[in-house]
Amino acid sequence: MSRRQPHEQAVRRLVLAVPDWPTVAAGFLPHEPAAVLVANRVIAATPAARAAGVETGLRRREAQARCPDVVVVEADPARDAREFEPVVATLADLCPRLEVFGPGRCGFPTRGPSRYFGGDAALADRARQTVQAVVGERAAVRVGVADGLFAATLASESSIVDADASSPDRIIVEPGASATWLASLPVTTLAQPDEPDTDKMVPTDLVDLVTRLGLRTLGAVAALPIGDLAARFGPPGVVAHRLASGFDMQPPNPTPPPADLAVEVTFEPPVERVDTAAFAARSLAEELHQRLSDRGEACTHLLVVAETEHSERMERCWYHGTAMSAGTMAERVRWQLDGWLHGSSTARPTAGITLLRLAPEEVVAAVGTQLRLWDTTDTAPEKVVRAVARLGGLLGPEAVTVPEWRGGRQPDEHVATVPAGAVDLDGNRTATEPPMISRDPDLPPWPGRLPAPSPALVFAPCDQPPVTLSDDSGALVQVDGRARCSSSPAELCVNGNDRQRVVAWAGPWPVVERWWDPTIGRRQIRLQVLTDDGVASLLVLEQGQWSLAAVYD
Amino acid sequence: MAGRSAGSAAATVSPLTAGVDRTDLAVPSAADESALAVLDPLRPLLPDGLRRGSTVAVRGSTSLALAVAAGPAMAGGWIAAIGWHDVGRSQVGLLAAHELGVSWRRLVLATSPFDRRQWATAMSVLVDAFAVVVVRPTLPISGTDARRLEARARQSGAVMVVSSPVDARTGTIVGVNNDKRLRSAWPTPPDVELRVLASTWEGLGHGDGHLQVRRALVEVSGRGRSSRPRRAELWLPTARGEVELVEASPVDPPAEPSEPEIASPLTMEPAAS
Repeated sequence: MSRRQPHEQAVRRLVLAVPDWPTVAAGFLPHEPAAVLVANRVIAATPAARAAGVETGLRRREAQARCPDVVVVEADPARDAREFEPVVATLADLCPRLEVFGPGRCGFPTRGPSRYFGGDAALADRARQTVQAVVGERAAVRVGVADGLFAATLASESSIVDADASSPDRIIVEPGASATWLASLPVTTLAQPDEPDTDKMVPTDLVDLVTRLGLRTLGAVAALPIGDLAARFGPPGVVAHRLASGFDMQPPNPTPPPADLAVEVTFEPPVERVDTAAFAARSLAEELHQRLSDRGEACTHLLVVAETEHSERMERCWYHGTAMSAGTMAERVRWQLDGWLHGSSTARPTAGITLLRLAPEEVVAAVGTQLRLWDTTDTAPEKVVRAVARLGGLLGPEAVTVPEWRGGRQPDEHVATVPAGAVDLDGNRTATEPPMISRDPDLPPWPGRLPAPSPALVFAPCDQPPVTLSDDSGALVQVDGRARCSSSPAELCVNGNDRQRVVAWAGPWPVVERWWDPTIGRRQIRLQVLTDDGVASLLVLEQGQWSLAAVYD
Repeated sequence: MAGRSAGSAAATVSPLTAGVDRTDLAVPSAADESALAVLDPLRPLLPDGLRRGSTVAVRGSTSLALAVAAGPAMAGGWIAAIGWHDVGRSQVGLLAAHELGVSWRRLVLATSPFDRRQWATAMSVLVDAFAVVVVRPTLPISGTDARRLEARARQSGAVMVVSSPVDARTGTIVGVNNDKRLRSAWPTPPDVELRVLASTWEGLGHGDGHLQVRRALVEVSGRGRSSRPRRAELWLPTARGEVELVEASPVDPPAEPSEPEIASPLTMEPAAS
């Protein structure tokens, strides 16, 4: 951390935020009480839930005690990023040099756009209205303009500023006034508890300590000599002072990094799937990370460019408060491609991806990130990461996977397997665990799912062995349009093997899914049967044919 | 500062611990001990836990194999699964695994290569890195490969759990694998062998109810310290999908020589209905 130059001036920026984006991305409307959890703590809640007392950082039980109707869902950064892509795309029409800080938050330096649109206020209103048109009823968009990213971010956060501003949806801090505007804000704003992933700018325990020392506002921190903070707290103390004074974490680095640092990969034949591209992005990110660390640098702004066979092009600039690791870069590439390839049909590319390019836009000196002495996070041991990479090379990237929760009614569709090379095994993977869902299979989010216990062996739809199910007289069991069996099942024959007597059975349960789309719609009947050899199975009847869907082994 | 590169963004410099390399002061963890933990309900069967470097064969139930792996998984160990998600045969239910306690956060799945040499290489990579490797064999394993892998596991301290399902029809589909060649899932005698002797499901009626619990009589036998067979009755699974000990167990093995030896897991018939 170099000493601040007396004439240093923070870059004036606009930050656009959609408060509690994870709840919006999860599909909740403002009047529905809902909260999104990471590691059993609330990270986002809808306005209705907040009105009932649900706050960021509460445990699940506490949140449910305060608001019994609250619906809790697990966080899914990939979904957040995918849903945020249309917002980013709209804003990118307004200003090309857009930076995405994370799902729900993006911004850009205002110098050029502000002149073009006739002032900060006009620009802020324009940006807000444009994005609000995309988000619609789902959430209120907020905009903040100030010198320095930290002040602009705070200006865009609803919880910080009360109704004293004339227009509560946008706050514009006059040029040069960031430090005065920040001075009255509480010191706790330095650590962002609701940012689980990225921008924990100052460690929470440092903020706690500073508060206990009696420094309750940012102004009080900024008034201290920077040397004393550096001597007592080291680099985090310097960062705290810089932020409190209205500067960015790092002094701006005006020299653009040399262009030869960028890495790219071309695909031949073009890649159609996000997973495959993300796997390539992983090794690309590692290469870039290696090149940067060879120079003793780390990347804070990363430009990700993807091109398709039909020359469609998509580029996004990703911002990360601290230096990006290879896993962080790869994850952002995956988010971007996911949002593009699975986006709305108008914005979706018409061909496979042929080129992927990662370029560092802004680099800082790598100071390293020190892990805590007793780290409680689930970081993957290095040998596991190595083994995964080795197996990926040995068996192919698709062969080594990790499970990810998707949700659904069928035993084979609620979990997806994602190539392990495309995820950050070290990071806080939040979508990996099934959410805490109600034990009652008739309740949302997937009414009609199979009740627990779940079958230990399942068959993919293409692999389900055909079975014959017959009654005492030997006639095949059929199910009518009202989901009633023609007769009691008595004998089961799987795949032409020996016949087994059915000793108990339950059902039939009709499942009709996505009837509006004949290509993906499913219409089936489920039946649980127990045969006299002690094996319990799940049978499904689809298009007149019974087959074995799962075995409770 | 330590030599770690700019790593996980979640961990930032803490003023109190900055400058201390965490490898200097490693916390004594389960990894250093000679045995891995098992779930409480399995303790009557495996009182010493899973010895590191040992091979555990689980016959007659996939859930039981998952329950064995759940102990180390709960204790923070990384689990590798090979052959769980192969095309052309049944797949292990990941939701069932989660209900039994195998966290998805530390689970890595590898498809089973069809080439025997590749399979052995993939296995040795897994055994070197993971605490537990749960294997569903797809190919007949040669004795040489098995012994080599066992030696490798002893060196790295990994536990291999070899699971075979209740019967042939769920294990393979005609045309993909020849059932007979898979008869002995693991060619050498395993250190510990768990098998489900009998099981009964509850909850199903005649057109009503749904599967709720299974009561399973499990026997463990093996070499060395575990040579005396032990039995216990388990709820495998309970209505929440977990595993629990049935109260008023264990059932001691009878004084008579022993049960007739079950020749193959694939032809095994549970004794009770």
